[in-house]
Amino acid sequence: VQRDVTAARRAEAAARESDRHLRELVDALPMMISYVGADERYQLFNAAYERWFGRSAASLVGLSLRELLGEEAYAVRHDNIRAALSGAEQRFVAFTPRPDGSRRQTEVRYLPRRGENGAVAGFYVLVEDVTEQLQAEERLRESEARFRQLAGAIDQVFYVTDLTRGQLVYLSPSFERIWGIPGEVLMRDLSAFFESVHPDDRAALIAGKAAQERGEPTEREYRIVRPDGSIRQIRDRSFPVPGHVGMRAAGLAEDVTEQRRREAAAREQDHRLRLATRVARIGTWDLDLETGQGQWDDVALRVMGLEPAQSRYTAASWLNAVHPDDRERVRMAFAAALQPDGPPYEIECRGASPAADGGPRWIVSHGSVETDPQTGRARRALGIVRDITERRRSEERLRESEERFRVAADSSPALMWMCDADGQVMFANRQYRRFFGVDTDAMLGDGWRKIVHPEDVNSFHDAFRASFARREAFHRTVRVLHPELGVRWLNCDASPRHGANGAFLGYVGVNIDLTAAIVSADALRESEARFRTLANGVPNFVWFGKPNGEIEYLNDRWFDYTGQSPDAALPNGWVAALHPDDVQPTLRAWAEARERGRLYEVEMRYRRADGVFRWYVARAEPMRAADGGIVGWFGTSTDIHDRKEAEQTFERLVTHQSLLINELNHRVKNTLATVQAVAMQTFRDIESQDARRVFESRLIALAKAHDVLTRENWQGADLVAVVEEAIAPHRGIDPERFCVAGPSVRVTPRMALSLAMSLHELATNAVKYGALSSSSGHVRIEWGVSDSRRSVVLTWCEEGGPPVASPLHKGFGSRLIERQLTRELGGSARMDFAPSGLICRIEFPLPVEQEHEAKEGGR
Amino acid sequence: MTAILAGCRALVVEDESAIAMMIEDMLIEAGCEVEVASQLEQAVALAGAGRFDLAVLDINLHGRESFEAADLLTARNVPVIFASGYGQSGRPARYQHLPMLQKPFACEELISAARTALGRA
Repeated sequence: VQRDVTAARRAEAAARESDRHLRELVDALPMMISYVGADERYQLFNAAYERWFGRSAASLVGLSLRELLGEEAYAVRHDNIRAALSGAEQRFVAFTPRPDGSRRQTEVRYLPRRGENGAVAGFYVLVEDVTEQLQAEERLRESEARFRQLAGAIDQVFYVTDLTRGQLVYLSPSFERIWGIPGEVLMRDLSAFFESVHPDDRAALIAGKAAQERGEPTEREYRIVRPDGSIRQIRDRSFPVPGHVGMRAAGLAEDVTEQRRREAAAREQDHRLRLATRVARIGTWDLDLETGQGQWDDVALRVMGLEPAQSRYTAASWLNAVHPDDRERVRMAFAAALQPDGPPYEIECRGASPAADGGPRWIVSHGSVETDPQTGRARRALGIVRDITERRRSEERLRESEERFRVAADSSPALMWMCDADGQVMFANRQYRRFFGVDTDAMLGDGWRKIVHPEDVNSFHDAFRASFARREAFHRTVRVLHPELGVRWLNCDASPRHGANGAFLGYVGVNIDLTAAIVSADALRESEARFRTLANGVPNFVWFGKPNGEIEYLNDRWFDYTGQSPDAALPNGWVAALHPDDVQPTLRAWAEARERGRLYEVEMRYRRADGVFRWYVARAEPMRAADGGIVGWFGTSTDIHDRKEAEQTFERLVTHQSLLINELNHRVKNTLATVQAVAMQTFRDIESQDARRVFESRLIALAKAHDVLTRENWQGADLVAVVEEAIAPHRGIDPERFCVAGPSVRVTPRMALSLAMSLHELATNAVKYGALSSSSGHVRIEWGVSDSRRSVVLTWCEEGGPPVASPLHKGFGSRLIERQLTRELGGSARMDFAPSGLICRIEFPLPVEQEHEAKEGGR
Repeated sequence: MTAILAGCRALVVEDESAIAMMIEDMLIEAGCEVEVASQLEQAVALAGAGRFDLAVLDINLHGRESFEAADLLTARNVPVIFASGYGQSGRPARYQHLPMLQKPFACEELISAARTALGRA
């Protein structure tokens, strides 16, 4: 028994322990749990009840449902309590009051408990606060309803797609309105949507779908084709919907057809406006007066001459774009326009940056001011700017031109006048005063009547009136009375004047004193005709050049020769007829001549029409005005081709000949040197070295004579050079021992050689035996041309030497002189062995063709 | 006038052997030791290597000019006298200061030119 008791106690303890655990668990639950007996009185509570009702569990035990919940809550539950006590489990939502009187929605469950006899002994109560949950559900319902209302009302189509299943979950009713297809069609089969899209846009759609499937937001525009064939532009934005199993996307599709059309139209409008303003060079500006920020468009920047970076400005800075001298004026005008009921803003001013040509840049700016309807204050100014530089320039030019006209008219030597549309003279130039000695004012109105010859006044007036009425040009010769010259004939030419708008303004007339003009006009015509006849008659080219170098006239010869037309040749095309190598030298010479105002003379080749170049020499002289200034150039070009050709041929021949002669001389002299060398070897063994020297000196004299001739290309030699060369080896120590005097005379090569050899022999003899053998002697060599100019007489005269003893007649020298001069050259040589010294007189004929040269020079 | 140029070593360049002999004789008579070259190569070799106090050069050696030899000699400060049948124009500007004998020339002309060139005038 002891054991049983122990076991029972142990079991009891275990049961108590289990019960306590259960109790703790039940107390920890947030839901209220209780047990109510069949008498509807609470028997058990968990802690949640204490928290809910704010009372201790002990104070609750034994309370009836009605007592704890109150009459109203009990009434709501009454039926459920009855059913629970009859054994049916109950689950319902009902409010449960709180001690502060507030009510919470609760989900209530009654779980019946049967006794051992099978009858219902009571029921468990489980109460859960579902207020929040119900409210959320309520809100959702409301939201759903509101959403459906909205989705049905808005123009956009709202949709939700289940991407995983490829099905629409939701599609708002506006779909049908926009697409023209019932939404159910799409709900059933999404492929109907793809079919509705314009074939050209389907590819973009597929790409969008792929993005949706990756969970990315999309924004697409595509066109749809409605069943009636009309096309709409759709803007479709979708975004992933989180928190769902599978991939969902919600989207908004809207019909943007009209919007796009309006945008395109606006763009087009804007584009057209820009184009128009650009074409019209009209720039726009915009100034927000509240923020003080403004902007010029790109045309305005160009108009103002500003950089792109300067497109933004402020209320304080924009005047910087205006010329400093105009800023105050512009500022005032703008300020006035901003006043309520101020004048319109319209101003012409100069820009701060000059026009492309450096002149002033003129701008016109118009603006309108936008005012705040409430305050009446200006809040924005808009306007345009336009470049009016050209207009201002032409206005200025017009003013200048008028001024110039007046100056020109006044300084004109002709009589000039103007009358108004009524025929009244309103202007007469100063020449009237100079010509008639009357004040120009006296000519105004009908003052002219006073100067016209009384007999012509009426007929002149009638004729002018007749032309005037028909607005025709008027020509008439009229007699006028000059205070000093008496009657003069005036030629009166007048033409109607018209304004820019075509309105008749009157007449302008020029009167010329014909009495003098007729004479000079005739003279000029005649002179010109004479000149042209002459210019075209000569074989040369005749031309006139302007001071600036342009050619203004070429005679017909030029055009005949070159084949150029006057248009091609004048003013500068004549250069094309020059030989390419002559272009630069010719133009340089032409420019230099003009620069220096001196005679221009240059040789050049002109191309004939057939392509042949011929040499010409061009000469031009400046034509000067009375004040000495050059007014033009008179030039001629003369054919020198044949002369030039001959010269060139001659130069070539001379050069060639000179080379040949030089080479020949070299050979001759080398040969002479060889002869000399051979002779030296031959003479080696001969005792007398004198013979060797004599031979050597003779040979060398011959060679020197060759040198003289070579220098002259064997065309002859000057007698002076022949003599000098011959005596040179003997002049040696004392040049004064020879006295040479005679004119320059050209002798033939043959004579030159003979004379050189002869003079050498004479000199050698003089050194050995004659004047030069003593220290005091000297030799005079003189020559002259005979009176008949046919021959030359040369004398060799030794003086101051030892007495002459042995004549020379047997020697080589005398024989050589005699033979060469007498027999070969037709001259003569006479030797006189006077005691004072040898005198040799040589006479030889002068070459016929060179006689005249002997007249020149002298020595 | 014998031995005026005694002890002087002279180079004679001349392609015409008779003339070469003559010049050689003239110089030997004046006391010189003489070496003769008749070809340009030979002249250049001697001008560059031999020891000379004086040189007489014909300008035209079988159609070739002897200036190469002249350059070598002047570079070694050997006085050079040209001998030519051409006029004064027959030598380049750089030799205008050097003496030039016109062929044919007298013995006295050669010796005088040699003395001047050697500074023994």
